[in-house]
Parts: sequence; structure tokens; C-alpha cells
Amino acid sequence: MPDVGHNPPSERAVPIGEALRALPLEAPPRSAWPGIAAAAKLDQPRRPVVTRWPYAFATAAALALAMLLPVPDDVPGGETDAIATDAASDIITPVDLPALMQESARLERLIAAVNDDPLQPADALVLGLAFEDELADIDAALATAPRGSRDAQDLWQQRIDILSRYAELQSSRRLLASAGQPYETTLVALH
Amino acid sequence: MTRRSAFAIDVPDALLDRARKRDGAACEQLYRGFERPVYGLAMRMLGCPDAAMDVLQDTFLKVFDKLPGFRGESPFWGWLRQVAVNECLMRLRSRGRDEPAEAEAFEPDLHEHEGLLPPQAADAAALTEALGRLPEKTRSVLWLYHAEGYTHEEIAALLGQSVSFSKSQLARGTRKLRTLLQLTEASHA
Repeated sequence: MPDVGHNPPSERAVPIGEALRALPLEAPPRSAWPGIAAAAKLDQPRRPVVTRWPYAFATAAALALAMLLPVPDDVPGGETDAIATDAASDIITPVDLPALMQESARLERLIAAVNDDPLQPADALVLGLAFEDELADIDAALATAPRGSRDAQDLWQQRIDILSRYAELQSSRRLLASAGQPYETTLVALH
Repeated sequence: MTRRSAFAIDVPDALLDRARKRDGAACEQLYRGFERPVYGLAMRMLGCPDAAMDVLQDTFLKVFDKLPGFRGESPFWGWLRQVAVNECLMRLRSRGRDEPAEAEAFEPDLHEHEGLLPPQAADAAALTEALGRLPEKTRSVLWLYHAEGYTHEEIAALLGQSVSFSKSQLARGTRKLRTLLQLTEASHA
């Protein structure tokens, strides 16, 4: 057993507070909102699950950026592009539900890793909030969809589609950053 | 040293006013904004996803219920965090688990260099695993002090214990964490 009590601090030692605060926030496995809204008897209008303009805009911007920018082979987050493209596949079979759930969780982890940037531009933050709203709608619908039903499967696929688009956007943002180009200016120019 | 809590999110007064009137959309916005901080805090303190989900739900039910009485003399996020911490502490107490006797004993203060963790602490998975191996109360003190910025006096009041108890828990938890991480590092060397 190593002498762990008297080792001098390594040059790479990490202050404990800094290390704890750097830990990623864990997301709950499902939204608690439907239960809270019901228990609190809040007046909660039912909203349809639709793709709103920020995502159409985000997707268009991400795709346009991907075409305009050179893509280095070793850019951090570059893997997300490929995974996001795969995840957007339209092929679904009735036995795919666990795979859809697994893919959804994987995309969430990837986005969390790419999002680990305290200096995101305002546009990215706004799009991130819109993304959370989209996801919340789907989670609310999933909370009431019969488990294993076609509706649940469709909702999980929608969840993956949204996560994929957001991953594409964030990946493009990282590519821009690595290329030294301003993100907001480019989005405005494209729009 | 700046200690920024994950809860430190400014909420517009207009949104709070709407939530006080039980506007569902406003309440949902509050939930979305604080969902992760509340769940994350509960996971750190309780270490159990089911219990953390219960804390998440009960915290917001209490917040929405008591919001009309919130006068805004302190930031909303601090008030909400206090509700969440209380929910966690209530569950810690109700579990009725006795901490090991040595976990309650006096622990000497930390030397300056002991506030530094081995490089392995930069690995989130390793640090999370090591945290999970600390006694619940010790881990809670560590988290409240370092991640949430509570003082020893505040922690002592929350736990119904003395300031020296809080300091002892912090010193013991830090030393234990260093040991666990150094062992992990050694096993990977």
C-alpha cells in the first residue's frame, strides 16, 4: 500500500474545491415536471410536440457551417458529427426501443461533454434553452405514453433527432472556435 | 476565493410574480432552470437516484406552495437551494443510519497542502466514485462547504451540530478523499 499520508503535493495537484465544483451536474433520468405540475394542480396548457424555429435555424446554420468550414481530423468534439448523423437514421423497428433510449442517453452525455465551456456566446445559450424546452415537451409526453407503445417509440426517436441536431450545432460551434472564427458573427451572416 | 454555486441563477421578478400566481408556464420555467442543480445536489448528498428524484419533486412542490410568502429579501436561488438542502437533510436523518463511530470523532485541522487532491481528482468518474465512498454526512459537509459555499457556522446550524464538528468532518472527508484518489492513482500506475 502506498504511503498516502505524507506524499508531497504533485505539481498537477488540484485544489479540492476546484475539483468538486468542476464535476458535471447530473441530470435526472426523467423529468419530474409532469408529476409536479399534476400534484401542484397548476394550470398547465398542453403543448404539441413540434420543432420550433430555433432548431430549424440551428440545423440550417450547423449544416451551412459544416459545408463552409474546413474540418480538421483531430478537432475536439469532431466525433459528435458522425455520431449525430448516424443517430438521425429513420430506420426504426418495433424492437428498437432500448436501443433508442440508449442512443438518447449517449447523445446527452456527448452534448454535456461538448457543452463543457463556461464561455459560450449568448446565441449558443439561447439555443441551448430552446433545446431544453423541446426536450421538456417530449419528456412530458413520454411520461404519459404507454411504455413500449408506438407513440413512445416515436417520441424517443424525436428525442434523438433533437439531440442530434443540437449536437451538430455544438460541434459546429467548436469547429468555429478551433478555426478562430467568431460564432455569433457567422450565424448572423448565414441568417 | 470565488465560490460559485450551480444554483446561482438570477430569476426575473416578473417570472417570480407569475409563478406566485401559480402560472403553470412560469412554474415550469423555474423548474427547468433549477432541475439539474437540485437533482445534482441531492445526488451528491444522498447518493441515490430514487431519493434524489424524490427530493427534486418535493423541493419544487414546497417552493411553489411557499412562493407567495417569499419576500425576495435574499436571492430566489438561495432560498430554493435552502429548501433542497433541507429536503436532503431530512432524508439523511430519516434513514436512521448511524455513521461509524470514528466519523464523529475530532479530526485535526488540515495543513495547507492537504487541501490539494492528487491529479486523479481531475477525472470526474474517479472523483465521483471516491466521493461515493465517503460517509453520507461527511460527504454532505464537503459538498456544502466547497461546492455550495456554505460556512462552517451555517453547516453546523443545518446539522444541529457544533462548528468544530463541521470542521472535523471537512478535514476527515478531505483526507479520506486524498487517500482514496491516491490509491486509485497507484492502482493505475
